[in-house]
Amino acid sequence: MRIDLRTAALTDPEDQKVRLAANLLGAVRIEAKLSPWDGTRCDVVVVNADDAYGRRVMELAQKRGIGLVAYAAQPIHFALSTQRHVAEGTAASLVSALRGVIDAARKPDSPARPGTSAPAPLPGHTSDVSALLELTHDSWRGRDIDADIAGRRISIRASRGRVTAATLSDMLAARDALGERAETHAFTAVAERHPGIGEISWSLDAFLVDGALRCRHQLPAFAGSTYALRDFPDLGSTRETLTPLRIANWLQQRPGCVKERAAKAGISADEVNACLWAFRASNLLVIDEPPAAATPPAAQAARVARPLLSKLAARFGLAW
Amino acid sequence: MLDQTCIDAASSTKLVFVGPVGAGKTTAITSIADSPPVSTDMPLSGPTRGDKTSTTVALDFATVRIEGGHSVFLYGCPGQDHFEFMRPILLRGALGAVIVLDGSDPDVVTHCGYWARTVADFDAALPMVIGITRTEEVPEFDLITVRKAMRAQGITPPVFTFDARNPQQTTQLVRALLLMLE
Ligand SMILES: Nc1nc2c(ncn2[C@@H]2O[C@H](COP(=O)(O)OP(=O)(O)OP(=O)(O)O)[C@@H](O)[C@H]2O)c(=O)[nH]1
Ligand SMILES: [Mg+2]
Repeated sequence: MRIDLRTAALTDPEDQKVRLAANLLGAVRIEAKLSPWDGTRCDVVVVNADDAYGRRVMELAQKRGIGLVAYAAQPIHFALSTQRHVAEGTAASLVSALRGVIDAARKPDSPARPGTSAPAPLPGHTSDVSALLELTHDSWRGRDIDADIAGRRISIRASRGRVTAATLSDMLAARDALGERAETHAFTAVAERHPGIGEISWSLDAFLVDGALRCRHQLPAFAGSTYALRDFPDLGSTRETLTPLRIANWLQQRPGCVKERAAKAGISADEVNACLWAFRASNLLVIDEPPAAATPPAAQAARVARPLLSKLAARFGLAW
Repeated sequence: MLDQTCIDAASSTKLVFVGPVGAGKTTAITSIADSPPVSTDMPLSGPTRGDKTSTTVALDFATVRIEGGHSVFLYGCPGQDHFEFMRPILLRGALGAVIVLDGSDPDVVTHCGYWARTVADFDAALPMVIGITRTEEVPEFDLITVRKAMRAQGITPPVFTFDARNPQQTTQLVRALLLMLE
């Protein structure tokens, strides 16, 4: 069995223990893939609940029904058996907490404490997140899938950067429902080169960006602080033209400082957040990794006199 | 004494559209220019396709007026090979190049490589964007292969799919180019 294990705000000794525990899980045939929390779906997250960021991640995990192991000096009581507290201890005690969470997630959940009857999400199986967030999960991101979104069938062909549907109305309805909860069985991976449904063919990047901007008020904060783009998104046909273009351009030029630059340019934080989710879902966004090769900031301005360039930009709807 | 080129550089600039025959260069220029381009189009001999009945034989030329009485000149290079000599003439002094390609052409990846190389060989630092038309007509269109081919050549301009008949979509290409100069 494979599980996607994330960590947030751990101290160095805690982090080492998680690494060791992830290896030890191999002995019980649990192959744990370990990576830092990035806001996307995973099976279990280990947090340091004594840290503000760790606590935020803990709350998110609880809200989304992600399996949780929380390090904290003071005991924390959780309602669900998919959520556990650990005090400082050995890697073996962490393994046992992790196994407890993983086992609880596989069984129909019973509340850990009598009297509570919170619904029991199964990490990795249920989907209490929107279709857009679901698409950012490792299981789907960058893959070719057929999807059922709000009852409309679409084919996401990430291997070609396209999305297809039988009718324009299916395409529009699916795009506009990206913020709605995804059904557990909504996505099916298909082989590359598998033909897509229907004849209507759109840019996948534009589809995701417009869908994400539409539901921007509902999206959780995108994790991480440094972002870069693998490729410039295909924004030729987006309905929302300027904002995603500017955000993509900043990400491409100088990774990391997009939020500050957007704020200065009067672009709202939820628009930036929506674009980050969309670029992640289209497999273009790299989080907290130094970019391979950032485009050098344009030492280009000399091509056109600055005042002329500003006027030209204004003529095409860009103010800077 | 004031250098004449300085005066020109301060008051006008140009954008050049390049790409193979029938990709949509004349159409794209028409979409965003203030008035229809002055084009040296000739009726197409042989079979025509859709509403395309002519081909550009020397160049397209149009203007976009900007604030302060200035203009940006839009030039379209003819796609046909025997007008190759026109390309450096038109690219000289440009602020950027828009490469227009036909997404329904099975050789679009090859064309993309060829035209990006043509622009980069002329001036490796010249900002360029790639715009691919007619992708709505081919459900099997593959953007990722185009990106990969570009990366393999060490050229990574934004690659957009767009409809050259649509002014808003054509404007996106110009904006992407301008943002590179920001
Ligand atoms: N279906 C479709 N047609 C398009 C699209 N973009 C452009 N066209 C059409 O494609 C044709 C392009 O023709 P031109 O603009 O003359 O092409 P050109 O690049 O100037 O060609 P040459 O001058 O011959 O080198 C026109 O008939 C446009 O209407 C698109 O996205 N979809
Ligand atoms: Mg032409």
